[in-house]
Amino acid sequence: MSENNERLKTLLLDIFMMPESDYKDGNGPDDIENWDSLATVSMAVGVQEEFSHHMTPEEVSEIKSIGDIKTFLVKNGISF
Amino acid sequence: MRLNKVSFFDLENRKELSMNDLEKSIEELRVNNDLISFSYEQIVKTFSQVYRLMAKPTHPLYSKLRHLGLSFFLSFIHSENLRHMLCDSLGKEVFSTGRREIDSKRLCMVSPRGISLHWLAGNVPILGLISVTLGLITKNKIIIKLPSSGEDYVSDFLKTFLSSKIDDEFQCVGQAIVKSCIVTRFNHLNLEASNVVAKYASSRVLWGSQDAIDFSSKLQSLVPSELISFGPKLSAAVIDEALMDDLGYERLVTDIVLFQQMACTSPQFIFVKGGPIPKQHVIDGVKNAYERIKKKNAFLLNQTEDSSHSMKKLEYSISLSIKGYKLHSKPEDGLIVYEGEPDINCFGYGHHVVGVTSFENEHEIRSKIPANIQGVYYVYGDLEELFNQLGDKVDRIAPVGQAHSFELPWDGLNVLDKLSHKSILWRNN
Amino acid sequence: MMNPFLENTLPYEIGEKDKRTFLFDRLSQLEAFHIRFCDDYKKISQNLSKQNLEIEDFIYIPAPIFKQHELISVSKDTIKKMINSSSTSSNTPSKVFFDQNTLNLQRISVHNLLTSFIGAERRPYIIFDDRKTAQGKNSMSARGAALMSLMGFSKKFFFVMKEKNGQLNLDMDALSQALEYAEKEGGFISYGFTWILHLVHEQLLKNNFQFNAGKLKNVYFLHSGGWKKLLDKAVDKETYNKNIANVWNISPSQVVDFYGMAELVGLVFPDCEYNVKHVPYYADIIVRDVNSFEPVINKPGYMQFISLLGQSAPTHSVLTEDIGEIVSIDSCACGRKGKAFKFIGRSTKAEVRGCGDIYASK
Repeated sequence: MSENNERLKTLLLDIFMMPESDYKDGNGPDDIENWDSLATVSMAVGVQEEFSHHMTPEEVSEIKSIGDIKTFLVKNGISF
Repeated sequence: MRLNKVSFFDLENRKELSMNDLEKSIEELRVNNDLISFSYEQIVKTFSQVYRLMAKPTHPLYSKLRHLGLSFFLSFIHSENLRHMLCDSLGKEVFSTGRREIDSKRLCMVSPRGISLHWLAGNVPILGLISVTLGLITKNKIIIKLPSSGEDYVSDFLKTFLSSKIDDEFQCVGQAIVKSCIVTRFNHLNLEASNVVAKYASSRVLWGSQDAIDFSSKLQSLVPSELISFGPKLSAAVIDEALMDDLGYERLVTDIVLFQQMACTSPQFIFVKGGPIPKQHVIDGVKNAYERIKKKNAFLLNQTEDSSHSMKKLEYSISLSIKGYKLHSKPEDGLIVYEGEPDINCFGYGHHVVGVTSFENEHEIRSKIPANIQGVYYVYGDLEELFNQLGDKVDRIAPVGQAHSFELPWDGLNVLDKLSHKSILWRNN
Repeated sequence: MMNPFLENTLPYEIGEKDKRTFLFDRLSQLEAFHIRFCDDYKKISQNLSKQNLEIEDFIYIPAPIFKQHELISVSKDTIKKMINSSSTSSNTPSKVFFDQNTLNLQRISVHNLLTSFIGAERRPYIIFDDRKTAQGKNSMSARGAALMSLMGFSKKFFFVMKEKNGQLNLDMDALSQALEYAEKEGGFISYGFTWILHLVHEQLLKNNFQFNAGKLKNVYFLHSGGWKKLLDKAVDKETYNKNIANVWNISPSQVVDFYGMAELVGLVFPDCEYNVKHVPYYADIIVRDVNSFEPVINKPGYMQFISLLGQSAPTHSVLTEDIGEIVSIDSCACGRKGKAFKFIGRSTKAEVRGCGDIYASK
């Protein structure tokens, strides 16, 4: 697993308070119990702090899964 | 809380102080002008840092308010929202410079009102935090009277401004903000303390029940005091059954169940066009949507599953029955749907109870809708007529699904102009 | 009016199976009576009733409803007494109305139930309360009603406390006088609210008061009321009983806790020697899961009480906010048949307020 993937995983496990097995690209709010609106805000703030890329409210609203977070980061030059 | 004692919070030590101590603190606050020297933008930026700190699971309020609307509060203190609100109510020029040029001779100067008393209610903690934010971003000095029981979230919020790990500007503004606040708590029957906190308040932001608002608005002040009252409010939905589909019902029910139906934006009853009796398929539409939400988004309902809610639901069902309402659900169903004209005593705050009544034309809703309506959420065709009938009675008319949405929750809360004082400065000829 | 009692039958001698048949028929009659004569109950029934196939199917009214509504199934002018609950969880007490018939049923029931525990003999009755608590011709507090319920066992009664400025103080002279009489008579019963009795005994211990009631016959200290304050002070039932027993030189089993509430007309539930409570044949307990309300056995839940004594008001099926657990059926070693249960405590109640909650704080 790449270093960036590890960083994202650590961040999301903490914010979504989920087991490691839930860290899958396809998983989103329907699959992750603690992924609610507040966790979404925390995720956006966390991503900004960890990867130095600010998510606009529109970009946040596009995030429907862990894979979408990665896509956002890839678009901003972070490789996975 | 003992009657004669006043608790005063200096954010470090919770102490029970005498009335003299409280008076002394207020005297100190009167001469404190720390916040005035900062620009609105600097204050907004400071709140933006607080936003980031509070969005982290490690913040003390994160877990406490997680299910009590922290995400809404965060969206409220988000820099974009605060800038938007300040520009909207004070004007862009004032936001940037603190003044507005009227013409070549005159300037409109905007300053804080002075001491702002925030008389908080205990029911929805984030409203207390919003109240404090409204006072601070307008650079007022604030006395916060906490509800006489319950947790003190305000001090935890204010302590965030003292976080040292940010930058120098945050530190300066943050300290000024905290120095501009007195957090106090006393029994509401303590008239002496109530008068002390109201004495120099040039604005009062009052929350709570009608009784609490009546009491706090009548306190004597030595200075003219602007009253801003956020009294008890309710919301309703108005739907045209012909325009409803599964998604419409789901949005409507989501508005009802979010925040355990405790927010003033939570619909407590549904007006259905088509009278005289709401059709069964409308009732079924609501009930079925609840079941779907329960399956798909159970987390929205989690807060209501403790035992006292089951008992309370049963009590509501029986009280509604005694009052002659027809029930369309059993107490064990998650959402209690009853049929009949709205009764102000029969709303199910926190327990998912909704009344359904019908109307034939918009005039009828006007006469049926109770006073104190915060918002009306619609699935409706003739919006102009709806607005004509209800525009003067409600703060907000919005589509269903928007009751608690991020874009709309602040209508009616933008009282920044009332918390600010405008004066005209004539230039020398 | 229906007679809930069977001739020559002791309260706890009918086994569960026969009891269910007996209760089901009479409960159906009683429900029909309340539907006919109590308009409010009729409205409740129209919305909530389902087919009654078992005792568990009958509608149950949560006890708080009696705080909010005056439910009554007889003509108001026949009401002889109104009892206010102790209203521990809110400021509004329940109001329960009694006509003469229900008062009679209540008296007979309480007498028969307590006889099973303390014997029928009349004895000196020492009351750890002020006389004022029991006064009131047409209405009375639950505390007053509880102490009055033991009057049927009293040969002569003594109030041994005086209220002054809202505080109850032990009247040592009155107590000495009462004990002198009790010694002559060879025994006594005593009653106090659980918390009051605790305070009294704290004081007696402090004053090194001792009385050898061990040499007397049929001495019982009965008490009822909440345990919350005691549990806050870490006083459990065992310690409580021991503290009292030590002062009087009696066995802890002679200190008897009984559970009752205003809405449970005429039903009292003393602890048996195995520290569980029993239900007479004309009543029943159903424990319901706190979320689903499904009946449960050997699991804590809200206690629902069925009672054939609830005749002047629809108190024949009341769901309390108290938590209990059914621990056995027909098998308690004390020999009493039917369900045996334990009272666990009051449910913790979440205070729910909203920004639209107009009336909650009024």
